[in-house]
Amino acid sequence: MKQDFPLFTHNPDLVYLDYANTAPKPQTVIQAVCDYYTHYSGNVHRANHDIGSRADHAYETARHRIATYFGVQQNEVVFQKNTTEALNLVAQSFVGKLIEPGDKILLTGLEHHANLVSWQLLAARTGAELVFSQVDEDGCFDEQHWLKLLISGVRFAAFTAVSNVTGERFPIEQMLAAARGLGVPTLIDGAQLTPHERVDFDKLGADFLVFSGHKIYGPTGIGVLIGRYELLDQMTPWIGGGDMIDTVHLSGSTFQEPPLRFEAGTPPIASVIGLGAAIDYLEQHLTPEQHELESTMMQGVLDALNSIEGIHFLGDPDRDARLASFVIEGVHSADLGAYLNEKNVAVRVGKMCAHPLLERCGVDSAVRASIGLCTDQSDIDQLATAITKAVQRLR
Amino acid sequence: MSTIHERANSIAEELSFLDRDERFEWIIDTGKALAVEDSFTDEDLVKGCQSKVWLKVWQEADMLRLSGTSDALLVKGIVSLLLEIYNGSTTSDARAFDFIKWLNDNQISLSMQRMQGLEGMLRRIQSKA
Ligand SMILES: Cc1ncc(COP(=O)(O)O)c(C=O)c1O
Repeated sequence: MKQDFPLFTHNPDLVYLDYANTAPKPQTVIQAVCDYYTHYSGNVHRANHDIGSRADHAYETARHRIATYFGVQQNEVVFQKNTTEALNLVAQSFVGKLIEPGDKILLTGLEHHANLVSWQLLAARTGAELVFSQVDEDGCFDEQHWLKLLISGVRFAAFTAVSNVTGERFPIEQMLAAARGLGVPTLIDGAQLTPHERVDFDKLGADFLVFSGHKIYGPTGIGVLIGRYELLDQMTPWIGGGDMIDTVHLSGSTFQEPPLRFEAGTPPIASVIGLGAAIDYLEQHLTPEQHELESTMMQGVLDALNSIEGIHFLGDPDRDARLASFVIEGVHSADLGAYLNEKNVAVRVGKMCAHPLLERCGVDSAVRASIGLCTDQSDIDQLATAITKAVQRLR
Repeated sequence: MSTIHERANSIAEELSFLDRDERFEWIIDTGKALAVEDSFTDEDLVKGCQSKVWLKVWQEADMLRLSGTSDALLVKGIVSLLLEIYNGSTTSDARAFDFIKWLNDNQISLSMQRMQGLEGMLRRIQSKA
């Protein structure tokens, strides 16, 4: 697989274990971006010439591919900058409209800041109350507590499918069924799910799904909101400008239908086209065999880490996760990260945009190793060697 | 007493025998070797560092005095360099000395986050010089 990725050709010694942060890009994605700029770099949705029409066609073809991949209609795919922006759009334009002061929005204690601060902003503006399911002693999601809060009456529920810190995959199918039963609309933060699992949106039964292009082997600058059309259609835009309007008068304007209503101004055309290519790549490579291979690789990572004396994991890692975060007694996480970097092993160090969760786990900063499509045995071996040396040297 | 430049040059000479990997190891050793005699409070913490850094800077008979440490070894190595270079220098020498350029000249590379932390330490030194 690595031969498909120029990053590895150009950095042959690189041991990349930071997929959860951002994924490398296959040649096909880079080529798609490059082709747009080389051959048909026109603007979209306002073309009266061939170059523009070609750009328009490629742009909407990418939307079509994404829609097909997730089993939704094309007009249910909204392009945003990233997961964060998509989340804020739903918070402001959907939940913001239905919320009354004192209404509750249900989150979990394991959210990335993107799925926390966006709601804090909304709460500050509307007087909504945020409620959080607790994190248990092992750093795991507490489903019973979440259900209890759900039943107690909430207006909206937003949760990640997979924690970016512990790697735990939440029982989203059951959670969504419970929410549907109570008529509570839902949003799934799919940033860490979509790189590893193909999602059938209708079958899943969520109202909104958000994810980032750059974590699924696509370009940066592009993220996606998938939403049920009836709900998207109720939403008013929160960014105004060109492309998103139907009629404009000095006295007021009417808006386009979704998704264009939420795509004001010139979009990141090349990134959208690149994302279409990334979806093709995923479609080919996210197979059951790949799933099993990633589980084997994850087991390898965990075996390497478990051989280190004094290691503590955040959460409860297992081979079906795709990342593990940890601290090692007597070794500062920042030192460990720097040492691994010297040995060409790239991992994430810090609070991982989840300060409340790290606080709950009682650590200041942690190290995270995350795997993806290209992770192979040699990566695992080099991680094992480097981390053993690092600990000997740094203690 | 040596001047700030003499002290910096003598460390640079020691480093000149080391390759990139060895310099990295040298910083670790320097961090391990830093003897911390002082005790510190939260007031001594330098803001903006990923790891914790405590740094005290004061003047004694027109000379700069420093003591400090960190909970991370590599940062402790950098703190140790700061102490060795700035301790005992005149305030005008301390104001004029460009530590970041010195690090670059001696091929000690820091990550962006470390750089931000270092800038906090240097601001504290400059504010007392
Ligand atoms: C679970 C989760 N949600 C949201 C985000 C934010 O993604 P982005 O920075 O692409 O908006 C991340 C990224 O790390 C994540 O892991």
